Parts: sequence; C-alpha cells; structure tokens
Amino acid sequence: MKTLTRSALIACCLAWISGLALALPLQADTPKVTAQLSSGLVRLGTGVRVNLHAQDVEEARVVDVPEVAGLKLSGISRPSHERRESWVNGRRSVSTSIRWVVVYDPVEEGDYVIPPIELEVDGQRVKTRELSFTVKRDLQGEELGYLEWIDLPEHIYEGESFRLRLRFGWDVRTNVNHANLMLPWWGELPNAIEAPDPGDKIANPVDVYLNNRQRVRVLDLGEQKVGGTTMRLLELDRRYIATRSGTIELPKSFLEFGMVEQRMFSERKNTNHIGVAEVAIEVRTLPTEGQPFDFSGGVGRFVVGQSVDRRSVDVGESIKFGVEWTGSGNIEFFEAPDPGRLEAFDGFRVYGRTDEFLGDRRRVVYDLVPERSDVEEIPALPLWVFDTQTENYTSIDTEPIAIRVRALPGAVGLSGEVATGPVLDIGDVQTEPVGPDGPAGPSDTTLFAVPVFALGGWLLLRTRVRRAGDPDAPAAKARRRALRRLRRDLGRSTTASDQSLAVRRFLGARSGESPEAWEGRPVIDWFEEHVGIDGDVQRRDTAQRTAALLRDIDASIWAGSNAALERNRIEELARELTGGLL
Amino acid sequence: MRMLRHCLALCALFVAFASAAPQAELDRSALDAYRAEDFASASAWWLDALEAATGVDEQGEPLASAGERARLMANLGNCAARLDDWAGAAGWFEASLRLRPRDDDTREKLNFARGEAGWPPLDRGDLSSTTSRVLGAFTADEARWLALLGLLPLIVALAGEALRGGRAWRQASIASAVLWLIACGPCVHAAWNEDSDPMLVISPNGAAARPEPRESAERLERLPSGARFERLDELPGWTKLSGPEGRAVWVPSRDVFALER
Repeated sequence: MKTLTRSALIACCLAWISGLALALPLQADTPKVTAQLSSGLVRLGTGVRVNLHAQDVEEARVVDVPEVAGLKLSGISRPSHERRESWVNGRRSVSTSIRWVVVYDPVEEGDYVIPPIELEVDGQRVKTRELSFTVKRDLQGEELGYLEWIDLPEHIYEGESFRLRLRFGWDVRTNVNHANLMLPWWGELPNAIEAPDPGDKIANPVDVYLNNRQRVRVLDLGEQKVGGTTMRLLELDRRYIATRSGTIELPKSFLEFGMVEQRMFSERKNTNHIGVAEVAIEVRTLPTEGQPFDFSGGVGRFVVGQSVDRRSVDVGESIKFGVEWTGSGNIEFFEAPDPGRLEAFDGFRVYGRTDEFLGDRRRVVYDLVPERSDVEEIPALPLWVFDTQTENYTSIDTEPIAIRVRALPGAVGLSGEVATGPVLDIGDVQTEPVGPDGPAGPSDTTLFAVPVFALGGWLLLRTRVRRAGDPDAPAAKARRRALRRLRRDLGRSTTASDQSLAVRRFLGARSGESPEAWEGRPVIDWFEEHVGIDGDVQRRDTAQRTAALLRDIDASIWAGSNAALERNRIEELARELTGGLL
Repeated sequence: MRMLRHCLALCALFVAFASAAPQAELDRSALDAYRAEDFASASAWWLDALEAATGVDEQGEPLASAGERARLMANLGNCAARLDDWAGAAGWFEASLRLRPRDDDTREKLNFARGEAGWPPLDRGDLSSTTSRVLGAFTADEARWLALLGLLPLIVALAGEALRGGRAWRQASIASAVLWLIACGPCVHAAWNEDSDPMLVISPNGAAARPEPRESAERLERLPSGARFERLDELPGWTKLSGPEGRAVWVPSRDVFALER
C-alpha cells in the first residue's frame, strides 16, 4: 500500500495497531519469530530485504508473503537451518533456528508498510509484526547530520551484557522540529534480550520518534563539536543480554531530521537523512575448558562489596551479611552463591536470604547465625564468573569480615544442641524364641453353624414360650416375682395378719388371681380341681400343708394373739408350691 | 495298646525336637554373627533358620509357631537395616507384622525403616488407616475366636428375649448383635486378605513394569517405590504383578519383596 500522505488519525491508529502487534508476541507464549528489514530507508531502485528468523524451533515454514502495492515481491529464499550447542555448569543447551530472506523491490517513492507475514512454527500459526520503511528518490543530509555507533563491541560472549549506544544529531544551524530514528532492528534483535529500561534514570531526557510510529527517550548531550561543526547531539543507549551464541545483526539505521509541518489532514515534510552502515556482533560460546563447578552464570566484569549489620553477637544470634555486585556483567541473571554449601561457612547456619536487583546492582542479604563461639570472621564469599576481558573464569570474592561471637552461659552452641538431641535408630534384634501359638481358631463350619443354631434355637424357644402367653405381661411378671415378693413381705411382717396378706398375695400371683380369691377358699378342692393332685402323694401333701398353713394363720389372727408364724415354714412351702403346684 | 500309644507319643516328641534343633542352632549362629557385626552372615543364618521353621511336619503341624517366624523376620529386617537396605528392612518388618500384628517393637521399627527409605508411614493417621490397623490387629486364629466368643452375649440376650420378652431384652439383643458384627470385623478382614499375596516395591527408583518377562520388552511404566501390588505369577528372575488399573505387568524379582512368607 502506498501512502503519500498520512493523516494524524491514521498515524494514531497505526501506532496503536503496531503497539498491539509488538505487545502481543511478548505476552503470549508463542515461538519467537522475528522479522527485520535490511534498512528503514532505501533509495529508489534498491531492493529491501526482510530477514525472517524463527528461534528454538524444529520445523517452520512461511505460509504467506503479503503483496504490497508499490513493492514488487522479488523472491523468497530457501530456509536456512542453524544449530548451536553450549555448555554451562555441565548442562548442555541446544538451540536451533531457521532463517528466510524475502526481497521486495520498490517501484515508487513513498512510505510503505509490509503487513504481518504468517508462518507455521512447530504446528502453530504465528505472525510477524508490521514492518515500515521509506523509499526516497534521493537521500540528502549526510553533511548536515550525524549518526554513529559508540563503543560497539565486535564480539561478546553468550550471557554477556552489552550496550548499544547510537549517537545522533544535526548541525545547529539547521532548522529541526522533527527527528525520527529508523532502526529496523528495534525490538527484533535475535540472540539477545533487552535489559530493563533505564529510561527514568536518563539525566536529560528527550523524546524522539522511532520508526515513524513510536517515541523513544534519549539522552540530550547538548551542543558539541563534531569534525569542526557544532552539532546538537543526542544518544540512544540501551543494554542487552546475549542469550545464545551466533551473530547479532544490526541492519542499516537512519536518522531522519528536519521540519515537519502539520496540517489538518496531512503533513508536509522537509527532512534530511543520514545513515550508518549495517554491523554485526559475534556472540561466542563460553569455553567449557576450565569452567568451575560453581560457575554462577555471571559473564562480564563484576565488582563486589560487602557489609554486616553488626560484628559482635552471641552464639545463635543473626548477622545480616549483605553482598552487592555491580559492574558491566549480567548482574541480574547470575545465580548468587549459597554459603550453606561452602565449607568455609561451616561455623554458620544460613537461615535464608533476600535477593534483589536494583537496576544497576544486585544485592543479596544473607541471614547468617554463628553456631560456635570460636568463629572469628565471616569468610570470603566467592562468585565464579567468566571475565570477558581476560577471557578466563575467575572468582570475585568478598573481603573477610572479622566478627566477635560470645558463648552463652552454659550453652554448647547450636551444633552441640543438635548433637545432644534424641538420636533415632531401630531397636535390637529379638533373641528369645517365641513359644507356641495359641489354640487354632474354630473351623469355618463352627463359625457358620453356631450363629445359625443360636438363631434357630431362639426362634423355637420364643415360639414355645409365647404359646403360654406373653412373658412380658404384668400377670406373668407378677407370677415370676411372687416368691421374691413373699420373702420381702415376710421380712417386714410382724403379725399373723401381715403374713396372711403376704401369703394370699403370693398365692394370687402364682394362680393368676387376686389375693382376695384365696380368702376362705377350700384349698384342697381348688388344688384337686385346677392342678390335679390325685394319685400324687407329694403334691397332695403340699396342698394339705398349704391348707394347714392358712388355717394356722387364721387361727392365730382370730385367737386374739395375732402372733406371727415361723417364717421358714412359709418360705419352704412357697418354694415347694413354686416348684410344681402353682 | 497303651504301650503302643506311648511309643507313638515319644516318636512325635523326637521328631519335633529334631526339627527344632537345627533352627535353634541356626538362630544362635545368627545371633553370634549379629553381635560380631557380621550382618551379612547373620542375615544368611536367619534366612536358613526361617526356611527351617517354615512348613509343616508329618502330622500337618507347623514346624514353628507363627510368632517365632515373625521374630526371625524381624531380625532379618534388623540385618537389612544395618546393611543400609532400609527398603528391604521395611519389607521384612512388614512381613513380620503380618504374622504378629500387635508387636509394637516391630511396628516401631517398620515406621523407622519406612522413614529412612523415604516412604510415608504405614499408618497415615486417617480413618482408613486406623480402621485397617484395628481390623488387622489380630491373627487369623484370634479373629476367628473373637467372632465365636462375640456370639456369647448375643446367645444370652436372645435367650432372655425368648423367655422373658420385654423391651430391655430386645434392646440387649440388638446391642449384642451389633457387638457380634463388630467382633466379626477382624475375621472378615482376615478372610478377605487370606488369599492375597502382596509384593512390596523396594527398589529406590521403583520397578520398571514390562508386558513380558524380558529386559528387551518395552517399559510400560515405573511402579513407585514403596507401593504394594498383588503377585499373580512368577518366573525365574521375574514376578508378574497386578499393576495399576489391574493391568498385569512383569517386573524384575529383585525390585520387589514378598510380604507373605
């Protein structure tokens, strides 16, 4: 699509869309695919290359290359596969990447936007960001502007932190109200990640346009002499970390500067352009030879400082041992050393640590507790790093800090406490032979038969008992309790009248009648009629003795003395009656 | 006739003594070796003693009591522990507890050995573990006696209910029936587990389960260390287990321990 003029509205929309397109790949957990233009500004008649790069993927293909009005699609290269290996702390990491080059030939002057290019990466559809660039018939302004890389390293090591400083400016005599950096590599730098933005720490910040659609904060260096010309200089300074070995390519970058006149629905530009040649930084693999086991992953130059919150403590008291690493190394990414695993710190117990990255330094505070009173210093804490200047692994050690540890009265130190604690172990073997087992358990037959018989017996017995009446009826209960009640009543009786009442109650309960029924009753006749004593001498005798007992009681009552009869005689007779007659 | 009976009794006594003597001798040798800290030899002696104590005599009586065999197994567990084979020790202690379930000494050893082997304690303290432990606190014979004796209160209560009737006897009968069912719990538990042949995975890295008993067979999964599986079959060097989800798998015999001995 060719756009000769752009309204402010369209610019805002494009900026929003591109911002979204930039943000989404960061948020989503999608394969990393980058697209880089060979240049943000090209002269008419010169081709522009789009470098597609899919990192850490096994398979990938370009699904669709968009057609753009005003640009002729010249071709797309075959995929170029790349595989790299690196070793850190004995761990091997392998990265594979695939590259393509898409070439467009501009046929007209203007600003162009290449829509997202769709790729299929490991079975997943992903899109690149939009790419914009400008095609000019003539590029002017080389003599009026300034654009240069400052201290750009030729090679670095994987994991190393490096800075990209792009200094730019223009002749102070030039009227400039618009500056736009055309950096095709911005946000699409393969094999590297950007370190946290130090934008808020820039001393004299100035915002300039970046790639026509966003703004970036740069450092204002003021007016300075460059080659005999006084120039207004600015500097873009960003820090990156190399993530893997390979090449970091920085395509040709441009500065557009001049006057831009905003109108209602368009703008009028009178700008100049200056470019800086494309460069590449080689990222080398860390040497495996000589790599110490305790290598922290730190790469670069480091400086260490240390402090403690106090130097005189009792055994068991905490000391906050703070260690601060600064320098040009990758201070936010290395693994801080653990004193608990170092022999030199045997006299200490490490209770924890706080670890924070403060933008330009890394601070770790260890909570150390001396276990013994003979500890005299906090030993040097080493951090093994790869020094990129000497190209060797080296140890960055803290300075030992002398401390005084007082023993607590009667204390034996923390290690002593542990030693005197309960020690667990299994018991001794069993030496005494064990005697014979108990009796063998009952057989299955017994286990099944006994409950069955118990249940059957209960049913039979219950049925039989219920035929004679409910055993829980009041009369049945009174009958069962008659003898017991007689004994109790006789115990309380002092006269023949009392005994008479007790005996009649007994006879009534046993016969199922009221006690009064036995008053004046012909006893022998009743027994003959209801019990059947004919032919049974024993029974007849009992009946006769019962009748005699009742007569004797009545005689005693009516004779006037009302003297009680012998208790045993009544009880014995009652037992005989309970045994069979009643 | 009486003379003949005496002779038979004497013969039986002699046979019993003759079978007990080698085991006692082996036990003494093992104890001496253990005291001399020759744990490997002690283990070998006690294994022989256990072998001599396992089985039945001509009359069908066991050669040694279950308690004695449990003691030998517990001592074998001690030897394994001293040889730093805590998983094997846990296996021996657990096998011992199956024969003598209320031996607190062995239970403590088992929990300690499991801890050293990196396994969780056998009794996790939840309802399931506690119930299982209570039900398994009796040997099979004890559980049978308990089930039978638990019937006595029920018989008494039923007789009372039949003869006297009334709510009290009915309630007593119901309560006795519930008690009897509870008393039957260990017996049912023992009967349920009577035919089980559990194997304990003792290899620290677990046991590689394969569909067929050969090393070249594809590895289906890894049975976790400390887990129990039912033994289905055995071949030299290989044991067939009922693996997770009931799938039959083969594992190397060296990686598992038979708890039923």
